[in-house]
Amino acid sequence: MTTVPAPRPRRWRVLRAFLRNPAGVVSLSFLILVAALALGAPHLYPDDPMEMVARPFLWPGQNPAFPLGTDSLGRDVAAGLVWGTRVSLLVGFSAMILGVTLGLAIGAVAGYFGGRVDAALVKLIEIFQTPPSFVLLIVLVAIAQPAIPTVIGAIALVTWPTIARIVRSEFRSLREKDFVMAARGLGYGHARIILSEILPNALPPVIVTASVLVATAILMESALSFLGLGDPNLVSWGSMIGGGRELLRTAWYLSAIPGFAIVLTVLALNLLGDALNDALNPRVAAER
Amino acid sequence: MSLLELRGLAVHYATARGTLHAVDGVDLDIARGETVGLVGESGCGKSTLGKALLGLAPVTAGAVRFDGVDLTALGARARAPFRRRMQMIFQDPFGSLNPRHTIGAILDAPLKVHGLGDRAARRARVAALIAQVGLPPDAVARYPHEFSGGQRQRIGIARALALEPDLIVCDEPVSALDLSIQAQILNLLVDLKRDLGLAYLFISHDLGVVRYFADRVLVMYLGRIVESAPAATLWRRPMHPYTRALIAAVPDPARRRQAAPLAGDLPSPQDVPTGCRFHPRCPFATELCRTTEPPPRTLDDGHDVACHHAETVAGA
Repeated sequence: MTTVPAPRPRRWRVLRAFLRNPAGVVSLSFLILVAALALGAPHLYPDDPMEMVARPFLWPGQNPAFPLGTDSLGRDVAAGLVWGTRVSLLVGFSAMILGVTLGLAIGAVAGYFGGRVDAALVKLIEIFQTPPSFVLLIVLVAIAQPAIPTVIGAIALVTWPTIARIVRSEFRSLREKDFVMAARGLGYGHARIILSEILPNALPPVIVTASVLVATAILMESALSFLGLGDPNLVSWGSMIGGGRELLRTAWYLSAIPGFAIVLTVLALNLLGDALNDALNPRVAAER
Repeated sequence: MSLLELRGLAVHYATARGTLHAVDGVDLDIARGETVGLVGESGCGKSTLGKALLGLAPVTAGAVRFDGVDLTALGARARAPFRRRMQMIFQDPFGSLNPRHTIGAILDAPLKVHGLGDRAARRARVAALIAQVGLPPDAVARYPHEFSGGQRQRIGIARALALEPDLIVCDEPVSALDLSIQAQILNLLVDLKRDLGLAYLFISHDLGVVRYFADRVLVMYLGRIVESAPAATLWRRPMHPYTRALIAAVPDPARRRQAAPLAGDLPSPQDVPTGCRFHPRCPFATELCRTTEPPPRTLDDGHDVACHHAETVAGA
């Protein structure tokens, strides 16, 4: 049998629609740069960013060796920023992956099976959604040790219900589709129907929400570190802002620089989410 | 013995406004290689009946006997071998194929699930199926959205054939297609039936299509079969007033004047009329019809009808 080169117009269509959106392309490029910085941190700044390297309160530009200046303890702000990128991205993406996995599993089971299983899982979702998520996060981190894994776990635990709700509603509408009926009629097992038939069709809104979830997780981690609930042995953007807080009037750059890093990264993630949403939605993509 | 026997099949749904009687006591026999047409208005329960046969709608009461085995009594595992023997073709060729899978994957999956053959054997079988329904060989690697409605319906037919069933439930298989395409698909179904000895339950609201296609026709009204007869007999001598109205509603170039339409709408299956279900819309209704439900009775050579005044109707 001759093999015909498999055309994948759908995938290409999504990519083309994405590339036509300048905000999405710029955001993605920026995020790739940030990721490169995070990965390159040990090469750019091989020394511990917590170490004192120069005179305190060097302003940005004052000494070319320390382009972003030094803080009250003489630590290099640029080194802190780059190392902080690692923490922010690590927490952001890990928490997102964990939260999406949990949300997918629970949302899929609830939406697919319906009935009592659904009722019980919806109650579970509501329990997690009732308290304000940041308060719940603080409680969770305060109970456990303030270390990176617990912060990641706690953020995932407060964000999964968002994903679960989306996945559940997608599954509820998709399970009534004829192609799912056909799959049942053909004798496919539940696992195959959930994973192979419904899930690929339910993913687009999840992908969009996931990119926003990374931004949310980065903000949550920064807020925790700002409050001193982050890992005390690591520099993060939030802890840098927290450290500069009392010097806001004399050395505002100490808070402003990491703050700017957070704003840009979160903005890029949100714009990326918008661009993905447009690209994955065929109707909007066609209008561009 | 019939291939398929339904006895008193009922599908009821509990809704906020009371019980919905989608299918309400249906007896039906389909012999090996027979094509049975099932006609009725939208909402009369004919699609639900088809789904109930395949275990896709919950059976409230009654029996679905396939080769003498009551499927409603079986668990999912015990039912699995029967799934291979009964398949379905869906109405909407755009909703019945998973948009994320290639045609090759759509046709391969049922073979894989039922453990039919190794990879090479399955690939050959998929290619044979694609050829059998008249699609080009390169369809294997393409996605459903690259095909037209008629081609997609061919894919749906190929999928139904994959497991070599004895019976295919065709749920309005051509009503979503253009007229010219309808004929192609119907011809394909006729050819497949001849080649493979298939039995069809052909569900449709289009009497013209059913007449062309079916050996025997059942007329369904509000969850019940009201008349059943060989196709030719039904057309020549309809004995239920509802059947008469349906036949009269078929556009006929030989008949200039439009037929009188059926009065009123189909009553809600949540609020079934007393007595004969059809009496509020029936021009022949009498006091008897309002109070007593007519039992189905056999009049002559396989012509069953559930009407108190069948003889009058046939003579009118």
